Amino acid sequence: MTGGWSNAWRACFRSVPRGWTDRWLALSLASIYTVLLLGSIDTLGYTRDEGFYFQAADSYQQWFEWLARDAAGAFSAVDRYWQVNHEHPALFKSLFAWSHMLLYQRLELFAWEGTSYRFPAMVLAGLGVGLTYLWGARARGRLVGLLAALWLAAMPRFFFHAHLACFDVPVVTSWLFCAYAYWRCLRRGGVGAALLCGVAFALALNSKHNSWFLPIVCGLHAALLWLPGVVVTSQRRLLQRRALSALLSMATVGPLLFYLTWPWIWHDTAARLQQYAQFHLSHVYYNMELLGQNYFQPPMPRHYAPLMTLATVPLVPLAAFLLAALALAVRVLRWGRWRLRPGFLAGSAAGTGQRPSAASGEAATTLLWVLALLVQYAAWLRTSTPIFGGTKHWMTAYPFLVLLAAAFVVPALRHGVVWLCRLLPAWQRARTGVRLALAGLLLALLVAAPVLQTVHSHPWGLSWYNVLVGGPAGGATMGLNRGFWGHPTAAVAGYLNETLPPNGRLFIHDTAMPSWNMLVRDGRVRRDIRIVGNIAQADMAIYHHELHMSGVEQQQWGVFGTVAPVAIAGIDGVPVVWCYRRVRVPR
Amino acid sequence: MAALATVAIVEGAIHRRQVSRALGVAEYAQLRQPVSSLRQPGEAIEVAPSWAGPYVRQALGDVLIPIELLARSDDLAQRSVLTIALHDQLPKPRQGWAREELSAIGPFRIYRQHNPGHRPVRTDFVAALHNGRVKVQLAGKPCNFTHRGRLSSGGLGGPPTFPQQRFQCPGGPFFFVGKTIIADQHFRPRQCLWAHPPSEGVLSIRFEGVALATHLVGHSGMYWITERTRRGAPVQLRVIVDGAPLATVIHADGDGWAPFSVPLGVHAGKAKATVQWQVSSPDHRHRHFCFEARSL
Repeated sequence: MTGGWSNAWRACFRSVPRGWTDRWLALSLASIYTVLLLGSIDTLGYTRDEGFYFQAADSYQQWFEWLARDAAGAFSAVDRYWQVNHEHPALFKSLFAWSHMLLYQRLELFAWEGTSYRFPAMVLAGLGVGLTYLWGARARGRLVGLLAALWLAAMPRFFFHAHLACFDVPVVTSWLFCAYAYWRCLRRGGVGAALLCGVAFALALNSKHNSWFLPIVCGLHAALLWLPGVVVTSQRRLLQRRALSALLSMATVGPLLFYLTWPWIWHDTAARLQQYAQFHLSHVYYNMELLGQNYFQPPMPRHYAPLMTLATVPLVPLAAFLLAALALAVRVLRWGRWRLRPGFLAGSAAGTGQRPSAASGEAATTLLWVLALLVQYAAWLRTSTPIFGGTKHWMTAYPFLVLLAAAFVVPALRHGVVWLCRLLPAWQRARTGVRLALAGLLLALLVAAPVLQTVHSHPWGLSWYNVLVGGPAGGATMGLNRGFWGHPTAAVAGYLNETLPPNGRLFIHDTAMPSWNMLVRDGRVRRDIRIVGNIAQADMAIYHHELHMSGVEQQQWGVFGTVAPVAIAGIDGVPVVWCYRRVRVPR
Repeated sequence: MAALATVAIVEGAIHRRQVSRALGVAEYAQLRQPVSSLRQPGEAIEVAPSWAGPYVRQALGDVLIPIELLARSDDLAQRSVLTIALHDQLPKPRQGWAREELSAIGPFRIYRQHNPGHRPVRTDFVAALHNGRVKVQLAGKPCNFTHRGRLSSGGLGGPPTFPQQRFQCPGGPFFFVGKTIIADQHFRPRQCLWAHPPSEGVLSIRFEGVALATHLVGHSGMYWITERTRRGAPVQLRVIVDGAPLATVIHADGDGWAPFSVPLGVHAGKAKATVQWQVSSPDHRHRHFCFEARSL
């Protein structure tokens, strides 16, 4: 018993390099998070992009079904089915298709059809949370892993995006998985670990173009390992060889598997890959409001990414990360180079008698996390980088933000527990179990506010801002974007169902037609409601507020002859979506 | 650790406070009666912060917040402005205007700001469009008034609402003169007269029997989404009073909702004058021109 508690206590603060316990813990976290996501979809509408991905998934599903019946025929008609939405790769849309086909149409596991498309994304979101735990535990101990995972899970923006049949959270997981595989290869070496790197990179490449940062991060990391003095260790050459094997696998296995798993690029490969790259490198600039100003073309504000991060990440992990960054900067500046020292950077090596190689691995880990964060944010220092997607653009950096923050906090948490035990003489000889309980309480304190805010924010994650800017009200006052994507239609669906006359005509503004159709398929809006493309033809109109959309609201005033909305929905008193109804024909 | 624990507690407390201050439809509904009593005829109502506008408009309705005041171009003609402010918000600062707090209603405070530079309006050309003394011609061809023009709106990036009541000109649906609302460069609403220039010649809007003060004051512009690309040709707005050309206002893309002021000189104070507005452009394509004018 004493040994068990002591082992558990040690595992909280020391890296746990192997074992199935942490894999099971990671899977448990993943499962719990997925269940939470499934349990909170009833208030969430469908975003514009989801509508397009439903269409793509349906097309791919038709091809898969044809493939099962007649492989030769299906292979001859690849382009016809895979051209839909070919500006994004196929992995997640294929998963949406399989989930819809098997779990909804065959097994009827979901009440709503839309949920079946979303389910794979939710599973991947859970796996992302679980993987964050696993990496933290492997690198720094279970408490770091747990704290980082909970902080990631309890980010309102992450929680919101995690529900969607889109790519923004799934790519967080695939990106994280590839980086983890690279790191694992450094630690363990071997052909299997290197191969896993290549496979993981293929999955990331087939996820979303955020994956293009991976070779930069891993390559930069490997290059820094080669520089003398950057990471001081007797095993530097071993690390370098392993890094090289990982990179080689990413460069060979990765692209090959990527090719095999995206049918659209089977033909005219070079041209289509170029087209894919060009689409995103020359992406059209949609509108985005920042501090009351609307941006629709370059130069985009360089401070967009840091400002939005400061405004949308809950305060506790944000503060922890800023302190971690400060400590790291001081250490680097003080020593003039990335020098291995026991303490925060080397994690649990301090005073534990671990071999230097373990500590050096931890320094290499911190270096990788820092590079992953910096490289991904660096793209938004360019004034030509689009900002229309808000925080989802750099969400792949968030696991590293929370890992660094947790790695900084947990040693302090340990000191806090020890100090508390010393405070009370009766606790000085406290059993390890009591110490664990105290650690749990302190951890709960650190996650309570983010969890409460995340729960409260749903389903208005895109409209939510943290206490630093005054919450959603403060964000609206400051002129920060209140939402995009057209999904808040679900918030007024009840009013529309009750109020529109039979066969009533509705203007759905920023909701995409396929997304509206999914609400119909779910049974959440009446089937007889007719959607019109011109406000002038409508009996009622929805307005999704964004600064640059204001003219559309003003058109609704002109058509309906009123400036008084009939229904309004939003968060914390801030209106996000509202409706107008025809009062009289204006003169 | 102590610092982070403190941050955690403070964050939770601030979050709770922010949530507790949120207002809903029920709170706004209590505004209607007192505001109706406080508001003076013709007084514009504003909201601080502005994002609460939809709730206030829902509560107060079109009678208390008519579109003409909501989409006014400036405050020159306002004797005063009433502001409904949430919690600790204050009215928009207006230099030289005196502010008085009229009332506190629950979480709201009602303020009045007095305009020291108020100028009475002799003629509002937007409001006068339907007074029966207006003639419109496009390149010399008459544009007939109709009550039953085809109502339409262009959505994001398209033209503003085309009203049913308008002077419809030959040449297509874009060629008419009628009241509409455009979003300016700050996406604020501006009520104005839609006046698309023709490919050749001028669009002429002739107001007869107009009372004049000392100046013609107005604004010109286009829906900002159209204008911000800065690719269109300039639009000329020429004003002629009793047959005498007085001024030409040039609107170029990027000017936004641009003010102009034309002294009336010898025409000042006339009880019945004929004022003609002529709109033209060297390239009429995508010239969704709109203007408003008043004699102050």
